Amino acid sequence: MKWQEILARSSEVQQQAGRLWRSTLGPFLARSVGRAGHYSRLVTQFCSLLLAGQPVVPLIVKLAAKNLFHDRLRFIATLIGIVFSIVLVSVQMGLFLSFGRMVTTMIDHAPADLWIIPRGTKCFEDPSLLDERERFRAMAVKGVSDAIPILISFAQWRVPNGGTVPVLVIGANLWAAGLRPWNIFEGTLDSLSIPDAVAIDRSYFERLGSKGLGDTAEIRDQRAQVRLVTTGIRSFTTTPYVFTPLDRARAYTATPPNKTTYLLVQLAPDADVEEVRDRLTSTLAKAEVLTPAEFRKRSRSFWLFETGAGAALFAGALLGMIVGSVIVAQTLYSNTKEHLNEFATLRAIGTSRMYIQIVIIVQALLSAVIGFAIALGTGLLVVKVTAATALPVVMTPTLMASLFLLTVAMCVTSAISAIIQVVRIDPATAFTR
Amino acid sequence: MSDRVIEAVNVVKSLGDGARKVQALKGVNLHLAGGELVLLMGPSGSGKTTLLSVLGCILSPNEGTVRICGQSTSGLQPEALAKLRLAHIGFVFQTYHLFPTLTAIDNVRLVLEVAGERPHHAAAKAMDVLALIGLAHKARALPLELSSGEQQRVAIARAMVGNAAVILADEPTAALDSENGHSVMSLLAEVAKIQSRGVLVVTHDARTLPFANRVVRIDDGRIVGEEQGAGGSPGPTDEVTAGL
Repeated sequence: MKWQEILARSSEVQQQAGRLWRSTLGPFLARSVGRAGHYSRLVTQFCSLLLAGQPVVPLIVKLAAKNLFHDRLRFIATLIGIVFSIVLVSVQMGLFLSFGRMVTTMIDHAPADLWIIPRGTKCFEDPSLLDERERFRAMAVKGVSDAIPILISFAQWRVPNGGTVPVLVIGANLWAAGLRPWNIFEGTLDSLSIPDAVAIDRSYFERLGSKGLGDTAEIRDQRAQVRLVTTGIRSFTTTPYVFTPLDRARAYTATPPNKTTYLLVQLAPDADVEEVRDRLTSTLAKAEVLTPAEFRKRSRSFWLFETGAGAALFAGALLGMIVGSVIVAQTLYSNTKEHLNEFATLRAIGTSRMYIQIVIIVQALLSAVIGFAIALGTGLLVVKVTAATALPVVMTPTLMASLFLLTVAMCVTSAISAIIQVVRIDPATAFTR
Repeated sequence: MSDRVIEAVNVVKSLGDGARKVQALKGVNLHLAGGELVLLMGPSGSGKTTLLSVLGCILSPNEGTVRICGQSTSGLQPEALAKLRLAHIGFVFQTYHLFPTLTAIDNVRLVLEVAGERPHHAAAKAMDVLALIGLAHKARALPLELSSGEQQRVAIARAMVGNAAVILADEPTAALDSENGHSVMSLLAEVAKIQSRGVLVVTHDARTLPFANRVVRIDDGRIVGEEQGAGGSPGPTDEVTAGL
């Protein structure tokens, strides 16, 4: 009996599904495929005509363009909205990328397979200390070829004409493969072996009261002479980096000789990173062992999210998008309202709703493409102008592509209010206006 | 005259809701054959424009049947009605309703492109129709650069270009002077006669009477009279209709 009921119900469900398919889903899918086919044919025709040198622009595009460009003031207002929005988003995102890169620049340039860091270290600039004994314990672990100590600590740089500037002293053994200055502009690495020698970046000359090689200053009442000048090694904070050998760094920062900040682990050939890391972790009780990627991620995460800097950048970008969307929506809406009579005529002569909606979407797309082109030019100008500053704005191909998609999405979304207005239009108004 | 291209049987249409509900059409019967020009005349508020909208598949009747080229419009959804309009009906509006930002040729080819015609084919056909009505030399002109008569002729070209079996014209001469009104009515009469289309003209204008095959009078939502007209284009064929 039960089986008969199940079979009967199953047959009923099948019939209902069949009815639903025939009455609703089937025709809907067929219509959707038909429409998609129609408009893809339009695009194909347009492209083939352009390629064949017969640029008869389809009227759906021409009508959209004419509607858009007809009121130049309104069009300019639309463009200003898009450009303002996208430049703001691109600057915020460019700063975000730049920030993300700058906070890991030291980690990127340190030739380490693994980092041994004091437990709880939040970022590269977090100057906790490890005991030198940890280094010897690490060196004893199987698979470790070397564990190079580096010291990171804040100090006061006393400029010759008075006043002090906080600096971040980076001490490393210059003869081991540790963290050494790169992008050398003047001088040689060997010159850092001269007593009191330090390396600074030329972008900090003014801040450090230096004119270049040979200038002297004091760090913690000890002489420091500029013997090496780098270019482009900048901190995202306003604190300049000062490179010097490890022992001198300890003297400048009053760090005991048996203390260090990090140990850069270099693995023996054929050693497995994860196995060595596990051994080091079980050996070193007061330290953490991270891969460079993990340390980069931790530093970025701290500066971008725990300090609120990233949230501020994202909030700025979001604000830009909202303002841009509102301006574009408002101008598209008023533009559509002005042309309602024409859209009613289109409906009266038999144009489908989809055709009219596409006219509005094409208007939005044209605004997006033109607005994006101007915004990109402005953004690249900002990139050029900020290139030599403490926090340059970065523009990558991925960011450009993302910004373009964002512009298109913003403009098409903004077209919704205009589309709703057009969908409600009564073709009979063509007779009454 | 050929077969009926449009037919209304016992059409009832109410407009508005509640206390404002008005029965605009009260059982209207009307037909239009290919090749004839019919004038629909009546006082303001008699239901002329409502009837034109119902015959043009823009409004659906509450009762009764409308057939366009033999096809009933009963039960058709708005998009299906739009397709029917596009395929069979051409409209001429009192104030032309040309797209002010498009040239004359683009205004004409619009109907073809909406119907899916390739852009360059549509442009060629539109130019042919403009040439037929003597406006080829104004093909690249914007509506504002055309006289009222020329604008209405472009609107007629737009209604003709898609081979619509029916042309519905709403007060096509109301905004025109005597000469242009004569020219536009001549054109519509020739379109009916030579191209065997059915042309229904809603008008108050007595100057249009000599062009009609039939005159249908409507009042208070009912057809109250019908008479035979002069039956075609009076006087010599002018340069406007020479191409047809």
